Amino acid sequence: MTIPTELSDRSLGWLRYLYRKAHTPDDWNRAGRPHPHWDDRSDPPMASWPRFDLTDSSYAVSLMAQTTPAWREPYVAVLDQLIERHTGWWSANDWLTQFGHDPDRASYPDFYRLLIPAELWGNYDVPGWTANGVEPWGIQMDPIAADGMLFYKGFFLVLLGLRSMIATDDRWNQPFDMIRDGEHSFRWSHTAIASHLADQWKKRPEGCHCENTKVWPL
Amino acid sequence: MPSAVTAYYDPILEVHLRLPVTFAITYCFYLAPQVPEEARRLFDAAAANAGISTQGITDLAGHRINAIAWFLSREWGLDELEAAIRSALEANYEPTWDRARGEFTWGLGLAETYPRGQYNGFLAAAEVVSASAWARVSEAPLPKQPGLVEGVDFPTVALAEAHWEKDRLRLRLHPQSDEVLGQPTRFRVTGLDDPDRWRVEGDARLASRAGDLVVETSVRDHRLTLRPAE
Repeated sequence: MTIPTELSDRSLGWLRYLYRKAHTPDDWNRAGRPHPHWDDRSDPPMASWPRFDLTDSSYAVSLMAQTTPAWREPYVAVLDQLIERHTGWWSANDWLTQFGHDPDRASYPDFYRLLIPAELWGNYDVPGWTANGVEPWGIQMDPIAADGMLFYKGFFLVLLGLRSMIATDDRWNQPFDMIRDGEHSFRWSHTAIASHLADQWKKRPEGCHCENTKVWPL
Repeated sequence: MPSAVTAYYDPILEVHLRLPVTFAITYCFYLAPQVPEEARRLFDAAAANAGISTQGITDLAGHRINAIAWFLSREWGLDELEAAIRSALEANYEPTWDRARGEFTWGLGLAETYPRGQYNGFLAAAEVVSASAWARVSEAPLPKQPGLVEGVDFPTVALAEAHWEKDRLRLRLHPQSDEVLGQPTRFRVTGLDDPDRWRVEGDARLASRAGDLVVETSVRDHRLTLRPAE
């Protein structure tokens, strides 16, 4: 098998776009707001949150590093910008605003019917509603420590893992603060998140849930 | 062939929601490097259900699914399918250059101010990926290199090629735009055992500074080969 040794013009053109996008200053803390170029609207209700853009933007740069292994600087710089944002409040803005059951669940649009068991229609939260605080878990403000939010910590680990595969340093194994909203500030590291999720999986043979009450295959 | 796939299981109510197998293409993206045979079986069913075939794509509005299908067809070397998908996306997903910035994105016909990030992310990954590359990303960290190129004046100049062939470092410079052609530029190669003993093939000068090899050249599309001096 021949492994390509050159990036296409389009690949480099997209890298330049992503580099500018990732390095455009914005503020993912609670008082701030992500720049509108971060995609918070694709495939609602499940993926229409800005953190999904962070993870989905990471795949191409990690692949580019395979093609130019002697030049990794821009890829790591982009990944660091993506990871930095994923530590902010806006990375978990669903979990930190959607408490209890969805007050709109009796009036969902018809296309949600595909996503909700027929017998529960009108009385069940749609995927994408994270339902922080429902029983038996109660309110859990740390999206990493929470019983739920697998899709938050799992995709964050993908992002951290891709960086660790190409970088020559171990920056994100130094403890860093997440959410950073007054008393709701939580200290984690790459390894600590991975260990925590591994422990959660060991305790739950059926899998961990993403939104509260919903265990997905990934 | 599977016709449905688990979306989620609710362990409180013991409810198991299934969706048409098309939905599984998103799973296949993550399964491919881990369990490729099972991922391929699921992909074949999902692609057929989604109307993605060597005849083209029937639902162009499924941006994420179509982008992932293009990605996996390249990862698995499904050349005929890849060509059909690429042709459909090329005609309908609005590939767009900003020549002044040297930036490339897909507008997807959405007429939005900013390119749709999540879909662009998968499309860009598909543009980059080659056979088994996604599996290699997942298998092991990149191996240690004899030297790394650092300090490139990106985005003014990028490196389309940067890899070691035995003891030779092959580079190809890629200018951002016509506006920057001819500008002087420099970068370093770090981590070399002996940065004083190198020579270059191509239009560049070398110097050894602070333990690094410094390459001075100009911004244009050209190739350089760095090799140990004899």
